Amino acid sequence: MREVSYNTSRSKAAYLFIAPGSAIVICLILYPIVQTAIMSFTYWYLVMPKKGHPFVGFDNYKDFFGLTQFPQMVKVTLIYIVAGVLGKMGAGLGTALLLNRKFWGRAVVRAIMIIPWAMPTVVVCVLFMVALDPTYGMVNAILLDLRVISKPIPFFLKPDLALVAVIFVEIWRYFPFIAVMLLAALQGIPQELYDAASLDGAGVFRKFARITWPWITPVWYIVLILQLVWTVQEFELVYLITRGGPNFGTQIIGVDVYLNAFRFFKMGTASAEGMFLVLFSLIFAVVYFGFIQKRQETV
Amino acid sequence: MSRRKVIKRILFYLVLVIVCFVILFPFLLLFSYSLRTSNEIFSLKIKFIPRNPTLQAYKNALLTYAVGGSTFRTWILNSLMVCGFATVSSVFISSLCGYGISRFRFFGKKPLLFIIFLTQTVPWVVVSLPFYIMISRIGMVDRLSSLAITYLAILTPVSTWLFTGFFKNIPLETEEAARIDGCSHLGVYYRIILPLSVPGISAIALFAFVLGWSDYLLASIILKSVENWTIPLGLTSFQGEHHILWAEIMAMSTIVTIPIVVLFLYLQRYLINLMAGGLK
Repeated sequence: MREVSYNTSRSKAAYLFIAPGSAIVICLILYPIVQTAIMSFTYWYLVMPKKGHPFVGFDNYKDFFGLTQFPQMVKVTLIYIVAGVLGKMGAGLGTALLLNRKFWGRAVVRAIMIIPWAMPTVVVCVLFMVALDPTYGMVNAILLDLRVISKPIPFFLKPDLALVAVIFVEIWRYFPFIAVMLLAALQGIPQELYDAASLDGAGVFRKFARITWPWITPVWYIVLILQLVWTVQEFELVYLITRGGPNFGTQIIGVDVYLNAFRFFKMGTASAEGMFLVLFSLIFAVVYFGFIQKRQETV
Repeated sequence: MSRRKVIKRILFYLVLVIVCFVILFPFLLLFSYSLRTSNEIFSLKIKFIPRNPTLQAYKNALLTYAVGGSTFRTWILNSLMVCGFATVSSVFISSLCGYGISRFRFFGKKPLLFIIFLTQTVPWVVVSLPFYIMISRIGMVDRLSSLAITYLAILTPVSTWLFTGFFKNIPLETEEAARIDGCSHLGVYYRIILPLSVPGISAIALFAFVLGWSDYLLASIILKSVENWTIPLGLTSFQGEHHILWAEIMAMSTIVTIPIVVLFLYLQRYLINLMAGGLK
């Protein structure tokens, strides 16, 4: 333990440092989350404050699970998370492997990797809304020009295509960042390992399976869990591009929480949905937290 | 070089170019859209390279584009104020907190770390419900100060987490020496740690700033009147309009993106170390 050498006894000075931050985290974040949990068991309708907020047990949850579009929403959310995370991680790994060698212009290529991540979400959404427009969109125009397609793809008119489109944007936004993280891990692999393997006559795939993959697995899993948590949280990207449409085709749960709360003012139902979502990311979060704690103890 | 090697090399560069193109295409597209007139964007035979490139859209975006009498200039100013306040205060508070966590042993350290971590995994949209209720209870809806406090609340756990990882990687020797020389803990933090950490702090500040700068969700529920809008609300103000001025919106998007991208590129090395530090 490092702290021991710096300060063996518990120090009162510590509280001086952590007090303001802890106060904010506990009062302004933890308390609201607890309030959401409580709200999910009450009748809470924003536009009718006179009726008060009586306790209704699991009614909000029942309402939510009983919705006709509930199976559809869970399906879309799961597809979004699984396809999005798989796509990001796969493309990220591929790109990292591609960049893990010496070539002319490598610094520039590495630098541009951060651009999609640095672009503000609203800008990304507005841009893709226009670029993927079925009638006027540049993407269709270019594909038509190149004769890849013979008629425009109606991206936001069909539910499936809309889902594919937003998942594509999600992947595009984050895969370069993942690539940069994985690349950092790849560059820690000693060259001697590969040289030795070459002497033994190992091929590309064998080297990958025996050296590269085992070496980067810890980082891979951490990035994976983090991406799962982040993707469960995703809301703006989908909401701003499609608003959950068409026909609930991209209605991930996060979007429905927002619509229920601020379009239909059903705070109780929205909280119940929100808690469902929290539970979801909590699972990954606990796994992740356990993972890093264990790593810190071993290091 | 053997023939096979040459082919391999060509193939490699080909894939590389495709990957770079995929990454850069939307950014180039944004730029390309912003160099047109809004009428041209609504043409069926649109080309990637604008036929008559013009900076008119930039001029319009800054001077004439208005919703209900408010312009992008107002929204930029609002965004700068809100995000500036939230960034400076959250970086100040969370650097202290992160330093405390990384350097001391104290009662409740593990639970605190867990809470900080937990709050980051909760979707913003979930936190936005109680935020809205609290803010409307104290009658502070539609105030920039409410949004600033909200951002401060949201940014503090993230930055604390990053600062904790960051300070852990700074060796202790200098601090120990300073302590022996009779410097107080706060003195060590202020005189030794802060000057050492300028790049790291700027990277975290930038990260925090951008989270607020591009936030639509919280701004959309707290701010109502146009004169209080922030940039993301201004950029999505076309909802329900018949004639959308896409070129102006794209020009504005470019204006608010470029400084961020430049700063990110400038601080990239530190940012990536930070993220990697947060992973460990």
